[in-house]
Amino acid sequence: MFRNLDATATRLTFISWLVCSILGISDVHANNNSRIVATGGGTSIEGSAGSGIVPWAVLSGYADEDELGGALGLSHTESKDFSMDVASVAVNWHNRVELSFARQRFDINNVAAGEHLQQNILGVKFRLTGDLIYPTLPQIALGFQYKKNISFSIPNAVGANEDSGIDVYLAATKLWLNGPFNRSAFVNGTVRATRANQLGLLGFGGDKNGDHELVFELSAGLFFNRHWVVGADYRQKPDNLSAFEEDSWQDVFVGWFPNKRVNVMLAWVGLGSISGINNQNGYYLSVQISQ
Amino acid sequence: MNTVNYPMIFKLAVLCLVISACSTTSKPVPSERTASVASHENLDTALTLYDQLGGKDGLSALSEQFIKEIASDDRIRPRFVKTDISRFHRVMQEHMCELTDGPCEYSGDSVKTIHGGMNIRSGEFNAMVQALMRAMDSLVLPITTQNQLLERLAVFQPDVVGQ
Ligand code: HEM
Repeated sequence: MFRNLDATATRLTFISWLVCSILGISDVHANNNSRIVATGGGTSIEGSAGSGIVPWAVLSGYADEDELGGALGLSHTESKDFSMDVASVAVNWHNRVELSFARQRFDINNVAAGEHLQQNILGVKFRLTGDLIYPTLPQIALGFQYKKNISFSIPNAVGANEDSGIDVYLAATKLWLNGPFNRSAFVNGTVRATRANQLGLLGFGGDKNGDHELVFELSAGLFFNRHWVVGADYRQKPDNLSAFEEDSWQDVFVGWFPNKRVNVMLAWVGLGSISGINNQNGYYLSVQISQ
Repeated sequence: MNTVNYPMIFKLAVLCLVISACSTTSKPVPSERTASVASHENLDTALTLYDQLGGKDGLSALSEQFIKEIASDDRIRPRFVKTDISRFHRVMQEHMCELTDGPCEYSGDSVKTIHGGMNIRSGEFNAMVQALMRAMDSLVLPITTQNQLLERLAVFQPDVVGQ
């Protein structure tokens, strides 16, 4: 299993290197897509453009209205007793539609030796109206995430109803170029209808509640300059399983956008109770390559 | 703490380094160092943006650098092949001077009228903004000053794009 993780990491590193080479990443101007640095956000753990845990209304990468773009993301989250790795890819068509795919692998070695929970997430996000930076409505997007467990045995054992589900979310994001302290600042609000247990890694619906419910998610941040941002996220979650209490999540993050190719996010996360073990605090690190 | 994951963290860290190494920024990021043109910024909050940009000389230098950046950007240069550059330089300064509360009166047409019929795309507007950002970076204007100018110019986006 050690070797397994290691092999995955090696493979992902290699793929990233390959993409890096293919895109000819040797010069920032090689990214000819037109949107402004950082306006594509990072890659969230569900593969959609956003911060670590919240999908935003912005679409992945830097494609403008007549361009094609996207991003490749890798992240690692480590809490007291658990860890999760995510690899994802997103394509942005004309800054209108974002299509994404993510594979999540959640390591539960500490509660079930050698076990892990995995799921695939297929996402689509439509930019409906508004604009992130120009004076009009906030940018508003509607997104769907179809999630499917790779193995249902553990989710089933803890009381989940199904091995797949669809999250639907509406997100609004606004950035003020000249915000507080003459720095750029943004706020994002997302409303999501979901019945996913711990993102869906523990299945969908449960004995306490089997239906979709509305949860709220928030992100806000302040740019120190065009390349560095500090912010925070909050994400409500359902609590469908009587076997395991589920808490809302929060984090404080630092994002680095050295150019339009690369984004690195580092966050301190508070994930509450997971699988019956409280105080899952830790960190999150993600790397994104974008076009 | 689960030691199993250290190799993964290490890999991610290496990956970060590889990626940032193969994507060096070609222009230095402006430091927070206050540029000479705005050295009294914190002394007097009543300074206009025009003053913060260095007044007449500052705007002249900025517009000149801005035009150079436009000329070096394939996405927008073609729009200006027939432009009388010295006139464009003068009118742009006049417009920016008024926009930043300087002692000028812009005499030209409205921004909407000027760009009417050009059918400028969203991407071209963003490319233009980034040309201005590069120009301001190369003059080492503080980010706080840059943001004020960007905010005032962003207002014109609906008057320029798709007209
Ligand atoms: C905030 C954004 C903008 C402002 C405030 C602005 C302002 C101006 C001004 C003051 C002029 C001079 C008119 C004259 O000569 O009397 C001008 C001309 C022009 N602008 Fe813009 N502009 C903006 C964005 C753009 C963009 C995004 C493009 C396209 C890439 C563009 C393309 C042009 C062209 C082609 C001309 C005509 C130059 C000529 O005389 O040949 N502008 N603009």
